[in-house]
Amino acid sequence: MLNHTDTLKLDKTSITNQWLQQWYGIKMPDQQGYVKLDSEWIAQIGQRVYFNQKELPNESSEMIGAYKNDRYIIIGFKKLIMLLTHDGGLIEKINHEAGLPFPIMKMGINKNKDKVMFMVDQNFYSSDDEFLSWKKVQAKHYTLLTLTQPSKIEIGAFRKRYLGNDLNLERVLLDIHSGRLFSWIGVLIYDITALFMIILSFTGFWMWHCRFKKRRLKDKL
Amino acid sequence: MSGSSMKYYNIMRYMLLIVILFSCNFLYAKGIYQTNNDFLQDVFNGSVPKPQLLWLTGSVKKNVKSILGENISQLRVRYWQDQKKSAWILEELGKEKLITVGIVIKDNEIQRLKVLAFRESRGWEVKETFFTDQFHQIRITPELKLNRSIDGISGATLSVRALKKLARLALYYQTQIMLKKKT
Repeated sequence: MLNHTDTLKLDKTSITNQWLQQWYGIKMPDQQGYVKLDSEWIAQIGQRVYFNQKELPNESSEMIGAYKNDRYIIIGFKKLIMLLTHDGGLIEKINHEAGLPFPIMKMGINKNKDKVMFMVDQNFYSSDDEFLSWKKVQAKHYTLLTLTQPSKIEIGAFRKRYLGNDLNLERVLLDIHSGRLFSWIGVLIYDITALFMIILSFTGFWMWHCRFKKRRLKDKL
Repeated sequence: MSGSSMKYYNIMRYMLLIVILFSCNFLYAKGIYQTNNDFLQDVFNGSVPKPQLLWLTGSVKKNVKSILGENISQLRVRYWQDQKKSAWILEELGKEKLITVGIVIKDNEIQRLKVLAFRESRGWEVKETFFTDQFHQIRITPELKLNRSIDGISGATLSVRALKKLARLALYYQTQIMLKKKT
């Protein structure tokens, strides 16, 4: 099977079996954050960020919130914001190098719901419509954006999506083939068995050779 | 101190100096050499214009893919422009980490190319002026290649390749903003 990895697409077949995932030590990380916007889900699991089923670039800092306006989807993290199109296409990652104040502690929208605001060190900042420049603003009335708590079924779907990425069928087959699936003991047993097979073939040949010599001597006599 | 012990002392001293110099080399190899803001302040003599946007859609996206060899991850790129020149801050993967490069373009040729941040453990020689000066006054051809060859650096192939891609990219972007101005 391993000789036909490409044809059988073994490297593209994810392993979703929970027992096998646990055996490999694959588990859901502690850092998890979810936001529901209309019909879309934005999830941060560990450093991986997802827009529905689509994986976005990794981000190590914690997700604070997300908002959808007429033009963009804005995802706020402590150290940067991601601008997406409505179908999840990444427009830009904006960090402190682009003038974004950070670390962002909270994210909110103003009273008119036309400006996203970011709280940094007790101050609020807002930007122009294209997120090119930032200025301090007075935040008299704003609605705080919070993360969403998904249901157990939804978490199950995210778990499947996240954990399925790390383990593929090719890896499992290679580990079975080498004995690594059963840790160092498996590798040792496989090596001893293979050595034993080599010794068996030599001793088998030697025994045949001795018998062959004896028969030839008998025939001569 | 006797003659032989003096000789021993001198050998140890020189060896220590070599070890320190050798270590310093690696200490300064990777890092941030200049922040984006400082680079722009430098380029525009303290009067940095407002950033503008170039959207990477349609044929632009296709051409960017042919330069980079893969799809670009974002849909727009920022640039800063005054009457005479434009400045671009772009990033590309070396071997495993991103290299940040600042590029200044004037009259459709590169006026300056500077490595702002280098994050790999090797290949950092590309930040040196003996390498980046090769990009001075370089242009892009209609086939989106550089109009001059760039000498590589042994052991820094991927970093050299990344910088060449970014140079082509910046020059291509410049042609697009010139087109935008005309229409």
